[in-house]
Amino acid sequence: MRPFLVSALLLLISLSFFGITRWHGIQKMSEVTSVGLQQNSDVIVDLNFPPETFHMSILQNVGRVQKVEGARVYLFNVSYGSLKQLSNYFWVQSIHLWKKD
Amino acid sequence: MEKGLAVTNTSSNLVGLSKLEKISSSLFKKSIGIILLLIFWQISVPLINLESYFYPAPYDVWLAFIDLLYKGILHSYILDSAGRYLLGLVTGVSLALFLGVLIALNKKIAKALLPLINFLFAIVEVAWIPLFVMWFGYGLTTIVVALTYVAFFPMLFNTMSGIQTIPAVYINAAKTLGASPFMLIFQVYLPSAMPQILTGLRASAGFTFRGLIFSEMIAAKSGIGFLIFEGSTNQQTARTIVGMICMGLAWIFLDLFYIKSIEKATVERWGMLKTAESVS
Amino acid sequence: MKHGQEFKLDGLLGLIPFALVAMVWWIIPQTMEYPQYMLPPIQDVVQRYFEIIQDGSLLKHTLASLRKLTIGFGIGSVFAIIVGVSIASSKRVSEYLSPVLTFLQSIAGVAWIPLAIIWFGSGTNAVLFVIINTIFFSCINNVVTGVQQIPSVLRRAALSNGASPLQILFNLTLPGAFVQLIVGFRTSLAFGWRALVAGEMIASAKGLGYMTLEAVQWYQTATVMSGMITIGVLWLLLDRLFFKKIEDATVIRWGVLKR
Repeated sequence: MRPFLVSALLLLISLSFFGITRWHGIQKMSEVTSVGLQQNSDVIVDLNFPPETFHMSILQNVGRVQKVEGARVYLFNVSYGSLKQLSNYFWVQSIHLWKKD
Repeated sequence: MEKGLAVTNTSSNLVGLSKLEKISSSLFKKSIGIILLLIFWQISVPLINLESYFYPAPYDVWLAFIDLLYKGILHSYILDSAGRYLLGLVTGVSLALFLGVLIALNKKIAKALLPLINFLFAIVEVAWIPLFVMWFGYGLTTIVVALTYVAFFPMLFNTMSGIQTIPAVYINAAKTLGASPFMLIFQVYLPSAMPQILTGLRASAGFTFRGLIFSEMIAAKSGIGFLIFEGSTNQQTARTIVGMICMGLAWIFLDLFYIKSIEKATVERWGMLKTAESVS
Repeated sequence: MKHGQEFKLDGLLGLIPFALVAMVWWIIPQTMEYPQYMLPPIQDVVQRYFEIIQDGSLLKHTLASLRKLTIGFGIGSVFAIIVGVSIASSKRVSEYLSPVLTFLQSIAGVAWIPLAIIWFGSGTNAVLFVIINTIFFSCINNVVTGVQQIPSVLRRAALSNGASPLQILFNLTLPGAFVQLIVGFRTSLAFGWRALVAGEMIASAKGLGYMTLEAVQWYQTATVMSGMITIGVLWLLLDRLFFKKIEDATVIRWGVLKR
């Protein structure tokens, strides 16, 4: 009995966590989606804190890291799918388009 | 006079209240040890007076815990570890169940396979890791293979022993009633061997847990084992201790909600004999 | 006659898997193309094994490992007996401490290696610490349980006959808890052995674990396999010849434990 209850509880918690981060993620993506981009773009990712090795390796999988300024990371050539994935992380504060001048 | 009142009080206030008291008093007793340990630890820090990377205080560990949580590192690591654990455990246990039944039923196969199995068992899973790393590189495959290996043996031996100690009466009775081999396996052998099989499951769960932590230290870039290891390479000892505490809590979680329930089911229904194999 | 013949056939049956493995191992390098280091031909492994025996390096590593194990086990078990007996003497203390000890038992072993490296640096001392720690926490609960299940009647009888605490320890407590002690020691040796090999790998202490892992860096698979086989053989000897024999001669024979 107990194992099933606990597993069900864990499942419930995971699903709600996933739902909430996805919802926030959609909001973070709003700037990118508003431009209607479905292809690769260059983005500025703001984190809540300066990234550590853990975060850098995730970011490097997402796109080419151009530079890091404190809690702000500049990424080249990120696919739309990867952006979606990135937006799901709760430590990502916002994703802006990087307009290079 | 008062005693009489007290008696009516408890009996009219229902057993529920005293049960709550019972639970909270046992919880209290259990936490005293831990609280004392924490106090001793905190006190010893200024006494030992070394940098916090050498001997962190409980407060440093708490800060590191919050930090890891806030940065999303901890929950990601826990998920990775849990995934590897479940994969390895399930694979190893299923293989062991299958082979265990096979070996227990067929003497020829038993005699052929057992020496090899015993020899492989003697080569501790720890010793296989270097080879696995050479063959499969770093990452998920190596770890799951290693964990399958670890989970396999305790389950195998217990399944074998469980089936071999079924009273022949049951088997003969079923055969006399015309049971097919398929029915025999699922309706006689497995149910009768269940206590022993569940003992094997407990043992496998334990060994796989330790194996997980070790493999992650050597062959992974994420997970609780890796967290424990990583903290030592960049002087973040507080993180190492967070990892160790998480490991202990994870085991308590597993034990309390999953393994103990299995124990209860078997002890209540069948009564268990503590054998040498089950203890090791 | 028939009985003897049966035995011979059974023994041969057990060799079949080994023979099969050896055969496949011999054939593969000759038929398939793959990088040499993945699976060196069996002749190479055998040859390498003899090499490291001859130049004494195998012996050196084996002795280093065994030395750590013996010292670690000795200190760990004695310590566990001392602490365990003291804890067991007071019901309250053992009640309070038992959750802490169980918690520490669940993280015993490999999890302490990084901490040990921070405290003792890479090398033998760190591994020794880990082994002592593992052995201690793995068998402490057995010691406590073993001592506690001795009927207190016997203790009071011994005291009323004027026995000194030391006499009680050696003539009552230890023999009385013997079953639990042996079981606990066997389990803790199993964990301790794993901690030893793991520790040598991670903390770079001279020994079999170190020899095996280091060879990976040089892609010397033959050495890796030699190390593995030695580790396996050693454990077989330790567990089967040592502990199993002790168990057989004492606890199983007394019927206190079934196998």
